[in-house]
Amino acid sequence: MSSIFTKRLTKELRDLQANPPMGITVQTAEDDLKCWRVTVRGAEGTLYEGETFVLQFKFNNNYPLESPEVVFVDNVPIHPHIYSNGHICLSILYDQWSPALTISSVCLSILSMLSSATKKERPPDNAMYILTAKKSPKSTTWAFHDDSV
Amino acid sequence: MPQIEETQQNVPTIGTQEQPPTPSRPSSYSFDAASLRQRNAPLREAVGSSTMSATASTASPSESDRDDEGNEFECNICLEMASNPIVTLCGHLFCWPCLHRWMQSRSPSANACPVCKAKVERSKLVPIYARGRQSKDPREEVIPERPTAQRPEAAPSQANRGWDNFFFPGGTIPTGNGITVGFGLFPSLFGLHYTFGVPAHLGSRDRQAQVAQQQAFLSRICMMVGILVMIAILLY
Repeated sequence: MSSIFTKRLTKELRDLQANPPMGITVQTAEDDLKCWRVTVRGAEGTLYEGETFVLQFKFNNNYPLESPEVVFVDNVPIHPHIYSNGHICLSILYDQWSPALTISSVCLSILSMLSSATKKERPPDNAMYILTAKKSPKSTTWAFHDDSV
Repeated sequence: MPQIEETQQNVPTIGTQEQPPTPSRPSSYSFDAASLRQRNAPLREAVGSSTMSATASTASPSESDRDDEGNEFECNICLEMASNPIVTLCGHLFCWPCLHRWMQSRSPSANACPVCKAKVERSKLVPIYARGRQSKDPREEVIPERPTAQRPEAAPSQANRGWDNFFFPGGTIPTGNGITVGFGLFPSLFGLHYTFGVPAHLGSRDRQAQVAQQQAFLSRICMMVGILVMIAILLY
């Protein structure tokens, strides 16, 4: 494991625990920091107000040069860009990833995506996708076409 | 408190007697230093030694906080103090090993600045040479040498300015500045040796265009002079 991986994740964990952004709480970071669970709370005044969801982050050794694998576990929010298996259609998690992004900024992006939803609904191709999708959302070829939500 | 009232009453009597009530209004805000000291004295005594211990205990966490988040020179990738620091044209700081790894990665945006997505070119990165000693990083062994700075030539001194035109700073542009224009029939008379001082800040395309233009102009003048000389020879 490269030293940059451990150093950076340790630092991110410390920062997140010391001053977490609004509505974001780190639950656990286990297995040598390779798997994190983060609780996000729906922002006030949005469709998801009062609801809490759990995001699972899995890092491989190339983090932060490669994006983490981010999925919703347990209670998956109903959102036009979130499939019922927890996969999230969000460009920064796949080909728009940048090593300057952090776990905290990813969580904030997802929260913002939830907040800008105008209607609670599954993506139109949800049934098809969950039949064919692999376990990791990173093996899906994503097409990003909707900037509004 | 008696001190305050005393000063308040003294002021109006010295000043205008016609409006005695006006100075009473600012009185609640105007204190002299002695009264302020008196007001605070019991408070300070009461808190006394406990504040001393409190400040001592708060000092250390605030310092460690500053260590955690107050570092202005963190690499945007590893979030550590940048080692072998390098800065992009868009102004974002990275460790050279970190940025190099990102630029070599298979990511579709590997040629973009991780922070702002601006295009990043290896030749346009600026290394930062600080005075502090460089800690040797094991990663350096597999990472190529950090790009060097692009140092422009020293500014020409007044004395030899004419000659400096022959040497382009950096020597990158092959289109020479010294152009020899000769007139075939009378080489001794019209063999012009001409050097152009083309501003070095122009792009190479601009420079070429300008050189071509000047060349055309010169050859036209040569032609005219030549014809005049021919006519003169023929007539006399």
